[in-house]
Amino acid sequence: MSAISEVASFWMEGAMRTIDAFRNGFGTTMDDPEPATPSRVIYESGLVRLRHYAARGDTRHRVPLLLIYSLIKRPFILDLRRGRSVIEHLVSNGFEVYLIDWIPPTASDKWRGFDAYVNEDIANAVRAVQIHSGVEQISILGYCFGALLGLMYTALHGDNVKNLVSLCIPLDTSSRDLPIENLTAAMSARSAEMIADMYGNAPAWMIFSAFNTLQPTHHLLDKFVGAYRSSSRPGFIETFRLFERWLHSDVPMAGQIFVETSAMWRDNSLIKGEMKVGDTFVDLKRIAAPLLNVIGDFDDIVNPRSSKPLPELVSSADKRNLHYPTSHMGAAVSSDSLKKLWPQISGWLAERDN
Amino acid sequence: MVIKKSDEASRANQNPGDASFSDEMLKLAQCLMPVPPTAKVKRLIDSSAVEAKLSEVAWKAYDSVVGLANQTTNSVYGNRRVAQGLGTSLDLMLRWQRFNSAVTGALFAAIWPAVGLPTGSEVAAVRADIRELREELRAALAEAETNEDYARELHEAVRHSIVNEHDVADQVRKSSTRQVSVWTGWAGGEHMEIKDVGN
Repeated sequence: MSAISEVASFWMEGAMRTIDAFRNGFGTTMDDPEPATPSRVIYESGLVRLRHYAARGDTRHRVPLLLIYSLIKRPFILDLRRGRSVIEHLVSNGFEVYLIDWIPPTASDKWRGFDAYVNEDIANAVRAVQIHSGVEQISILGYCFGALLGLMYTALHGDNVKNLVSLCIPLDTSSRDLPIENLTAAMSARSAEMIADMYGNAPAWMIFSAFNTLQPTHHLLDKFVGAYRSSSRPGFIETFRLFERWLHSDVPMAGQIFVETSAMWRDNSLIKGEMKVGDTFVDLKRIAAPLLNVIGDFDDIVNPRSSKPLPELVSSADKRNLHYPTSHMGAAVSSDSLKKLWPQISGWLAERDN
Repeated sequence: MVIKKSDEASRANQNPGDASFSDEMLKLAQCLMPVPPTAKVKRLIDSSAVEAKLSEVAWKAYDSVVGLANQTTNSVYGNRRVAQGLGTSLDLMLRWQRFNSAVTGALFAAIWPAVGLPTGSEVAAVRADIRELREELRAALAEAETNEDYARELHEAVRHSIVNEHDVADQVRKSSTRQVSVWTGWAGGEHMEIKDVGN
């Protein structure tokens, strides 16, 4: 097959996926692909579905690890396929892993803000992990928006957290270098409120379109050409198809948290200590748990400069930034990250297991 | 090129001037391009080294074009005036959409009750009620937790026992009342036996 016809066939497949996603409601209704690592749902309440992945191997760690993923996409990117799975890496290194598999919000959940997600859902999930594992203090690993939620939880309920790992956290929004930062800052409070008012929740198609519009060349052409160029690499096309499926797995964001997030990023209120969750101001200085802040140096969604100040804002004695030359999603799916970055993260957690 | 004599004769008979002109053109072409150019190019690129080189150059050119396009897009979105313009457009678009919805809603408001369907405001009122109920429940749970300290007792028991995950999962699913009492410490329903949790 010639290059052009092969690229065209990838492109057509992608176009069909996008049309299907728009027609079916993206990740809200679609089934996740077959997981690489077996799990059991041990708790479900509110918008939390808590999955447990049992540890494997000879070395077993005492402190369980709770993964908090972002609210706007399905979390199967963390367990994409065998050999390309963060969860598989963690369980095979002896960690009892728990994942908050967020249930997509419906119209009746539009009132859910940070208070509901942090003080109810995550708090309940942490308590479920404590009871299930029999361990009082657990480790939390948050990814992207999930890292923000984990950070807020640790600031508000620090007694339950043994170690905190934040991965690509969108924290400081004072730098406006990336297009996404510039556009987020330009959205007025009134627009955010109108979206919540009109649609209830920020619709999945809107989130999908916003991200895709930021990189039109990549999404319209280059990723398909890239797939053709790498198609001879073993397993590449399977990973590409799964990754594409994940890219179309956007879920709506509950109206209230969408409005609150928009305001938080616009005013940079979290790092100023002006952000309120429920009735309490989130004071990052209250975080005393050991902190590992992982930064993707080529992250095009979360500016590395946005994540970098975190260690300076907490009062932990044991804290550090871990820079790694990867992109936002590369941190979870690239074979290089799985071989070199994740062993550093699991090693850091293992050293703090007592 | 071989031209048959009979063809030559017939063409000359039809239009002698044209025939001699075409012959002259043919001779000229044969002088200038003794080998047809396509064949020559084909022979050139038949060499695999040349083909690889061409492919490399083509991909480099493609990468440059894509890089340039990405840079242009980034600089457009990175421009504060453009972002401000997009922000304003979004605002206007949403207001226009809301206006349309309001007009449509007003037109159809009278029709829905007539066919027995609830109006948007009725659904919104039910949702507000549900939200208030949730808040009341949450306050009651917090109060119960403070008073009875059941969660602390449960944690204490768990610390000294090894949890059997099957039992916990089954217990959690059995009833919502029990689930609430396990996770929040509110002893609203029957209490969970500690001996059921551990081994």
